[in-house]
Amino acid sequence: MTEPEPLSEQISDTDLDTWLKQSRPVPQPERQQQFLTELAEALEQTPQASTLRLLPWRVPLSLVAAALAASLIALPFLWQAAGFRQEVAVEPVSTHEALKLGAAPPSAGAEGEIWDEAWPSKEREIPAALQPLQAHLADLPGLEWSMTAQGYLQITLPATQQQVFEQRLAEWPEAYHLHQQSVQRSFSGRASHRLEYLLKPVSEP
Amino acid sequence: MVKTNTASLIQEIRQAQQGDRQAFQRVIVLLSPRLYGVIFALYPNEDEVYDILQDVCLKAWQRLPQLRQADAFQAWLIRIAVNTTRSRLSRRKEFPQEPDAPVFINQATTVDRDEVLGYAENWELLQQVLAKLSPAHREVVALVELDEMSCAEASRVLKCSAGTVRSRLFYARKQLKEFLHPYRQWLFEDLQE
Repeated sequence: MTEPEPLSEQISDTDLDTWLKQSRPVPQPERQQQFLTELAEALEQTPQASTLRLLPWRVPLSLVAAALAASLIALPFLWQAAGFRQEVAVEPVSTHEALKLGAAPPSAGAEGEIWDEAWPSKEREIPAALQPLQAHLADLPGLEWSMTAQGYLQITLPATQQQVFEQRLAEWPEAYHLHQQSVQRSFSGRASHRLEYLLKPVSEP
Repeated sequence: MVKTNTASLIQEIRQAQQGDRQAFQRVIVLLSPRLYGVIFALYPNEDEVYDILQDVCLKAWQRLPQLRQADAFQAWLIRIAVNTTRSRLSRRKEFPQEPDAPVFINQATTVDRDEVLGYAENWELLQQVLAKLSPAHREVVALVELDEMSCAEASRVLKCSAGTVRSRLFYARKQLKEFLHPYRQWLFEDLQE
């Protein structure tokens, strides 16, 4: 433990006050003059607040600022509304224009009914006529099959396999109708990671 | 250092409020040494002081029509100076930011006379010790010790209670004594002569 300092060693309040008074910062005259000259120049270009209010462009500018502020406030709501519509929207890729590969499309009436009753049934067996096609596509990874009540073969596959899948179908010698199901898109506009097709041989009733 | 509001000064301020640039310049000629002292104490960097000073004067000129009482001009101007300097300090981490940053100093240390004499003027030493204080402590030293405001006046400028000002002043003075301790033999012997 250190010993307390002798009183004479400490700086007294009086000494500190005196020193502070003597040390008070004072501007150098030359630098001060230079500052005043520069200030005079800057003042010439600086209007007062009251002058600003009288300028004719002041009113339109305030209106523009108000409109901008209102837009900024409304933007999140508009964004959210647009985003909601985007999320629920189902983009008809080929509902009205069936992907035609190897044969003429079915009649418009038949096409319109496809989607109402096209719910797949896993219990339904794949017809023998389609089994060679199934075998032709069997090695594509991630491909899933099921039959709809309308006799369509519903195929789902990863979006990454789309190009190979359609190429394989183009190679298939027999005629068929192919419809690409709606693709749900995410908010950012990117397609879902899986695609869905409905396929039916032309020879089928 | 002008502190009193003479009738002529009030008149000049009122003219400046009406847009008279020459009147405003005359006011600044009178008050700029005081402003310089306050800003220097708040921001002890010679290169920056005039830059801040000009900023303060231009802000005061722009807002002058909004000032209701011309006799409150000086306190108003000092408040602009304090705020402008605070803003500048917040952008540049040059000095201690913590209001009560601990100070470590070896009280047994003494300094060679040559080192003390190396400070050409007392205010250069003041610059050194002010830079070691926290901004809050520098503010009370600037206003109360150097600008000679009362604690009540300083509290209005700093927007805090007079008790806070007194408390900060107590600790600031204590720190100043600690900082100056190594120089005491030469500084205060000279004072007593």
